[in-house]
Parts: sequence; structure tokens; C-alpha cells
Amino acid sequence: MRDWLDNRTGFRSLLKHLLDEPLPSGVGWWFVTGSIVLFLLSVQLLTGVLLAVFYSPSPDHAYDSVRFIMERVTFGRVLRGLHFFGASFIVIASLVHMLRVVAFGSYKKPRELNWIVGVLLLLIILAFALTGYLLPWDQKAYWATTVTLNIARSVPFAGEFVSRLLKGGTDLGALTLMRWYAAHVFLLPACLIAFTVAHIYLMRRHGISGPIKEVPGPSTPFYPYHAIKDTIAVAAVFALLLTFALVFNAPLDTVADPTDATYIPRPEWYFMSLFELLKHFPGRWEPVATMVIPGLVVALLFLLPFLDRRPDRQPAKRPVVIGSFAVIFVCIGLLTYQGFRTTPAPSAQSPQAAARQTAGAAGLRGPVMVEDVFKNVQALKGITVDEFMGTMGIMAASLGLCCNDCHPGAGTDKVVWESDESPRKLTARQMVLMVQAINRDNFSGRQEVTCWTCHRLRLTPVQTPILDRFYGEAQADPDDVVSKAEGVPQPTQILDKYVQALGGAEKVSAITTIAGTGKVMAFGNFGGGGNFEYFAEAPDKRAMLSHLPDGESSRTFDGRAGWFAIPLAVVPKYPLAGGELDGARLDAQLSFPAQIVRTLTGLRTGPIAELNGKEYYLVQGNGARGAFVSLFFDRETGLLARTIRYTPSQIGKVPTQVDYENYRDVGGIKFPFKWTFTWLDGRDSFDFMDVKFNTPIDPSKFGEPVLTRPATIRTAR
Amino acid sequence: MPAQISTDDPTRRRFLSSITGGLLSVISGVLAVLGGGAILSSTARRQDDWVPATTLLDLPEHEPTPVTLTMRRLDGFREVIDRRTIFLVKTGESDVAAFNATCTHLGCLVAWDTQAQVFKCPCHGGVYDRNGAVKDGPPPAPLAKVTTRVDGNRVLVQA
Repeated sequence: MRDWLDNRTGFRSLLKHLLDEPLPSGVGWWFVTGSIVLFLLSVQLLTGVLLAVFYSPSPDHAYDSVRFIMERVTFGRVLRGLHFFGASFIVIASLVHMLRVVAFGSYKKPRELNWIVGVLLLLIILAFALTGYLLPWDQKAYWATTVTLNIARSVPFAGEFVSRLLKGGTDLGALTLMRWYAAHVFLLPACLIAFTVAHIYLMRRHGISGPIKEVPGPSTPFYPYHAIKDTIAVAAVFALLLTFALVFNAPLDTVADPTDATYIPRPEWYFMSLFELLKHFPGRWEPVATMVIPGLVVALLFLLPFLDRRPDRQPAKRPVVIGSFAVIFVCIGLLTYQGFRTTPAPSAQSPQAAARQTAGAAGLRGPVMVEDVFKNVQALKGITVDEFMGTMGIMAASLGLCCNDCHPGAGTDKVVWESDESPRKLTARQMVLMVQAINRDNFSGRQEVTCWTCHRLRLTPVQTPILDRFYGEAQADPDDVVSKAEGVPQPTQILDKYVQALGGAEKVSAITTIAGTGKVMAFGNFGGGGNFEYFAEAPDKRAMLSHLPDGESSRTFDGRAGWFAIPLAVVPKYPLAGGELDGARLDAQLSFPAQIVRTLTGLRTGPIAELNGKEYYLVQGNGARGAFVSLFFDRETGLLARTIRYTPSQIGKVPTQVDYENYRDVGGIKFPFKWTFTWLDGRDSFDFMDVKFNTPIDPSKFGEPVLTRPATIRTAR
Repeated sequence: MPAQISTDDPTRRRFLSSITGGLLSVISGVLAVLGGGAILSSTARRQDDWVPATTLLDLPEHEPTPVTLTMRRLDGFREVIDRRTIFLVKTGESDVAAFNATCTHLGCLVAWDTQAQVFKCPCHGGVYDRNGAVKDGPPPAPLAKVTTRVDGNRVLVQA
């Protein structure tokens, strides 16, 4: 039978040709890297075909089909794990292979063309990783791709066209998914196979380069003397990959929700350096990070064999090449490390966990947890004091109640916070658990239902449609999260106009510090009047220090840590953590108008907003860990009239609003001299008397506030 | 390229070859099991459910009555509504027989001819008697029987 087959196909001579390739003496384990890449690519092709059997590339079904693979298909979880982790393994193996080739000087004559094909293969592998990311159509996929598409828009001159080409239309949707799917399963595999064949053909044509220094001795056939090394290495890598697939689940977030603008995407580790690089080139410099630097690195890779044409292969004799690669890889490593340090993991990390982690990493005193301060906490355990206070504010604001409606004696010395005397407190606990259960059971944990959803300033929600309202004047509440609207300017146009209205980009960009003083009226006159000091230092320090009759009221953020102090409160001062810390950082960053574009991600212009009968452009953008900010710009003057920042809490978003009025000229730059600061627990108004730009500020102003009253946290035990 | 190729003793060569072959077989085997399991998982026969079809009161004695069943079922990752036509025949006080209305020839739906007292297929002239047996035409097999159960007054079929 074999003879019959050989007679007709000549397979024996083909096998002999393939397997008996003579290898130079001294070929060691370093030469297994190419085989590892080839093996991993084969695993990706196989698992990709198997996944494609069950996958449906449409926004209506993609997510469900991936869940089906994970939950219902026999070994589906393992197959997806092999494919998902295999992508990372390939990137690592390809880079190791490339470094081996560079270190051994294997790209030199006559193997220049094979090096170029190898670089093309690396780019194809990265394109696979990019296009595959969108396919599960979960939150991570959707928002990471949104960032990618926005990066594509930074291509000079043709950015908008490239973005639309990638999207297949004006928005990220069905056409985008099908386009990326087609690229991932048809176009890229075809290119990959063609270039892999070319790579192997060229490798065979010129033979492998062998050791740097020729090792005397006869050559050996590839099979089995080197094949055994390849096979052992491949088996070890496969065992490791299989372990990953078996032990860890390939991540699958909740289904993509284009209206959930609070999601913070984080790219896969192999794109993190590019993502981080972008932060260092904001605004009009963005193309440097998205095009110029990556373009130069790729160009350097392509041109390497032509730039280094001397025959020397010893690394010591090629210090420029070895040094350049070392610098590039160290930079990529540092940027990746920095990216992971500064970009929160999406959704996996609760604000509380993040707060503890951040505080610990920064060597700071840990956040003050609610159990550290209050007794008899039952439904809202495990959160920080600032978030706890936020949740109290949400409940009070949703029902139109005050503290003493549930805590008898609040505001006096007679209050017993831990008392369960009030039936409302017991009801509130049940309601917190009920709302959490509703969101968990129906909305994958997203806070679609909160106290405000039903109560709307009422103790008892209205249960029946009010016909007068239905047939009367429309009273639609504005959305908190807005989607991109049609017929309104781009966010960057509105922000440019704002900067222009303030005095121009040159002047506004030159602001490094702001110092102001004035009069404050606290808590809508209940807190009495006093003086205040305001300090801000770019990029992210800010302090608002109010000197009130009853003591100091301070909000400070020093770039890492923040504090909140307020007189006559159950907790007079506490360090910020979680959502409030993120919010304080946002406040500090947004104090400098030129920083808005690079501070907020996913910028979008919502529908025209109406405030007090006047129309405003509404621009919204995202901060860290679910925080987001709405900015309202006067349509005529272009000036900022209001900001509302939203930070997450256990029972809903905590809004903090600042209204800006009375813009006056300070050294050629307009500055709002009246601020009205509104949050769930009160409203302060600040009238600036004096404002200075670019004056030195004592760093201690941004640190922990010094209280004139007892500074220690007074526990409610 | 060195011209001289080293030759080794055949025992070592065989040993290395068998190790290589063994490892590659293990890897291929694992991948084959994973892939085969995935492909075969969707071919597993699904569990039929008991679906309410009608009540005994609605069925005339010995007269095949067409009933359209509406069933929810999982089609991969989707839940779909399936409609299937069957004929129910009340053969006793609490006995009901059921036939799939699909002609066993090429899949057209048969109809009950009350005058001729036979099932007729409109496509290629297949004819079945009231028990579903082939009387005439090209059908290769009788109409498929559907299992039924009577629960009180309700007639349930396994579909």
C-alpha cells in the first residue's frame, strides 16, 4: 500500500526532503523557538476552526454564542481557553523567536527576505489579536475596540476615513463585527498561511543560520536529532498552555452595552505599551504615539538587515543593533508596567478593593472602612466611609429625607447612630438588599435600578400612571449617561471652542497653578459664611479649604491621596478611597481646561441639554473605575457652565455638581468667579475675590487638612 | 553548509524517533479529544419533552385530527419556537395514537382524506392508511409514530 502511494505521490522522497535537512553542528535549544511559534499557530488555527463552528458573528448572537461555547459545548471552555491564552503565548513566542534571530545575527545576508517575511508574520499575529478581541461582543470587547477605533482616527488627514473603514460605517456595530470576523477567520489566516509557507521555504532554501561561532563537526539530519528538541519544547509549551486553559477561564464580561459609558476598557498586555504611550502624547501630539513611534519601530525592523550589513554575527560586534533592541524592549516593558499600574482592571476590581490596593501600594494609611467607624452596619458592609456616606446621601436625596428621618436625634448630641429604633432604617436595609438582588438577577449586576428609579423624592413610589402628566406637558428627566447624539458638534470641537473662549490654547496650556481666595456660604447658609482658599496644581493636585464658623471644611487631593473634612459631622475628617478618590483626582485634573481631552476617555457629545431655559452642549467622558463626568458648555459663549461628576457606590451613582458663573478676565484668561458646589449632603457657594495663575503653591496645602477642631476620627461606637 | 552528515547508530535514532512520535501523538490525541468532544457534543440526541397537544374531548373517535404543536427548544445558543404537525387518532376511551404528518418519502406534509379514509401526500401521491401504514405510492416507510400519554383529560405527546 505504501509502495503504491509512494509510486503515485512520491511521498517518501518528500518526507526525506523535509525531515533529513542537514543541520550544522552545534544547533542547540535556541533553535526551537520557530517550531514553538509554528506549533502555537497550528493550535490557534485548529481551535479557531472549532470555535467558528459554534460562533455567530452578529451583535444579536455573538455574545450568546460565546457563552454557549463556554457553558454548553463539551470542552468548549478549554477550547476557548486554548485560543485565548494561545494568543498571548504566540505573541511571547514570536518575540522570543525574533530576539533569538537578532541575538544570533540570523537576519543577515542571505536571509534578509526571510527576516522581512518574519516581521510581516509578527504584524499579522498582532492583527489577529486585535480583530479577535471584538468577537466575544462583551463589554471589554466593545469598549476596547472603541478605544482602538478612536486611536485610528488620529491618523493624520485620513483618520476619519480609516476609522469608518474599520467600523464599516459610522458606528461600531454589526458591520464592524462582521468585518473584523471576516478579517480574523478568512483574510488573516490566508495571509498567515501564505507567509508562513514562504518563511519556511526561505529557511529551507538558505538553511538555518546555526550557532554564532561555527562548531566543528559533521552536520546532523533534522529528524530525529533536532526534531526531538523541537518536540520536547513544543510539548512543554503545550502542557503550560493547556494548564492555563484548564485552570483559568478565558474572560467573558457582561454583554456589550453601548449605553454604559461607565465601563473602563483596558487592552490586552501586548497592546498596553501603546495604550500607555498615548497618555504621554495628548491632544494634537497623539499621532506621535499612534503613528510615528510605532511606525519608526516597524520601519527599523523591516530595514534591519539593510542597516546592519556587516557579516559579523557576534553580539559584541553589533553594539548598535543589540543596544537598540534592548532600549526598545526596555521601553515597551516599562510602558507596559506603567500601563498596568495606572489603568484599572475593568470590572474585576471593585472600587473598595482598588482603594485598599492603591493605598497599600502608595504606602498610605489604608482607607477607613465603614466597620471601623460605625456600629450595627448590616446591609452595606465592606465599603469605605466616604462611599458609605455617599450611599446615605443617595437614599436621602431619592426619598427627599434628612438624616434625622431615619436616625432620630441626628444633628444633636442625642443621636444614637446604631439604634434600630426607626422602622425606616429597617425598611432601608431591606430595600438595599432588594435593589441589589434586582440588579444581580436581572441586569448582570449593573445598577439599572436604584432608589431614585422609583422614589423620585417620594417616600412611597407612585404606582399608577398620572394621566394629567401623560397627556400634559412633557417632563422628561435628563439621562445621566448619554450616548453620542446626531447633529451636534464633535466633543473636541466643543472643547476647542471652550479653550478658545477662555483665552486661547497657548495661554490656557501655560497654566500650571491656580490660586484663589474669596467668600464661601456653606450648606446653603446653614453652615454660615466664611473665607476660602482654592489651590490647583497641574496635573492633578487640588485643594478647597473653607474656614467656617464651626471649623474647617476641606477637600484636598495631592495627586495620590485625598481627604475630606467637614465640621460637626459624625466623621469630621477621613481619607478618600474608591469612587470618591477617583472623583477627587478627576476634579483636580479637570481644573486645568487643557487637560480635559487627555483626562477623559470615550468623549461624546450628547443631545442638547437645557438648564434654566437655556441650551447647552453636553459633553460626557469617562474617568477611572466607572466614574464619568458631564460637562455643560454654553452654546453661544462656549464657556463651561456646569460639571456633574458621577462616581459609583453600592446603591447607585453619587453625583457631584459644580455650576460656574461670572467669568472674568485674569491676565487674558477667563475664570469663573462664582462656583456653586452641590453634592448629596449640601450646597456651598464660593465667590472668588482674587485669582492668580502660575504662582508657587505650598505643597502642604494639598495634603491632609489640619483641623482647628479635634482632628481624630470620632467613631460612632 | 557542511557536506558531511553524521550517521548515528540505528538504535539511538529509533529511540529518539519513538520519543518524538510519542510526544506528538499525545499532543495530537489531546487536541483530537478536545475537538472531537466539541464537534460531537452538538450531535447528542436531545431529550424529548412531553408537550400538551389537546384534550380527549376535542378528539373525535377514530378520526385522525391534525394538531400543530408549539414547542420551545434550544437551537444551539438560541431559544426557538418550533411548530410541528401531527395527527392524533382517538382509538379508545383513554387511548390516543399519534403520527407525524411528514411523508416518509420526501418530507411533504400529508393530509387526511375523510372520504377515502386515507392519508394522502400532495407531492408524489404517497398514500397511508389510518394506522400510518403505506398503502400506495413511493413512501419507503410508514408514517412515524409519536408516543402519547393521557393525563386526566389532557393528551400529551413526546416531541
